[in-house]
Amino acid sequence: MKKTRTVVFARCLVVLAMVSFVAAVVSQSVVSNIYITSALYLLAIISFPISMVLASIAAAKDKEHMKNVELARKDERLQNITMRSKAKAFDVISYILSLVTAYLSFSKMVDMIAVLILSVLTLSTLALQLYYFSKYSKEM
Amino acid sequence: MKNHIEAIRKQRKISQQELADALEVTRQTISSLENGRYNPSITLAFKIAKFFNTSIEEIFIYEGD
Repeated sequence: MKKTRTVVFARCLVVLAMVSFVAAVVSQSVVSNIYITSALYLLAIISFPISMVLASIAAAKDKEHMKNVELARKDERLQNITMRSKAKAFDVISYILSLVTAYLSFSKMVDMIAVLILSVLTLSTLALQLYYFSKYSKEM
Repeated sequence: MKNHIEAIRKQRKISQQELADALEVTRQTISSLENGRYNPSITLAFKIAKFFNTSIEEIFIYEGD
């Protein structure tokens, strides 16, 4: 994307959102002032969506960028890479989620309800996988 | 699967970018196809064959699994 004023401003806002979010988390434990922490969280919450809107406006104006985006959307190799990376990420997250659930259920660090919710979430990924497998099997 | 894309492309003096633009793919995809890292879908294989005005069998060589 061309480095226009809007793009630079959007990037600055992203940095501002990140910095204010980290500052809010830190201030929660260091300063213990609810107003400062809330203000920092609010700044992060407001600046991030504004930066996204500005970035999309700048992208829509940049014809060369839009052409590249459209080409990347059509390219079957990139589509394959995207699908494979998503599938791999799902596998890794499922594995981690199962391990964390198992660990938390044996340790007494968290409430049993939290473990139960986590277990339901872990099992729901399997259920969703089965559902979509069945759906796509009928379609293809 | 092997292919003769690079040879045919060079024979006809077409750049990777020109071929990529004609097939509506990225230049990296053409590079991957030529290096044999990526096997195209049947649609893309037909597009390539149509672009070079030849048959799929003359471009792609199936060597089994």
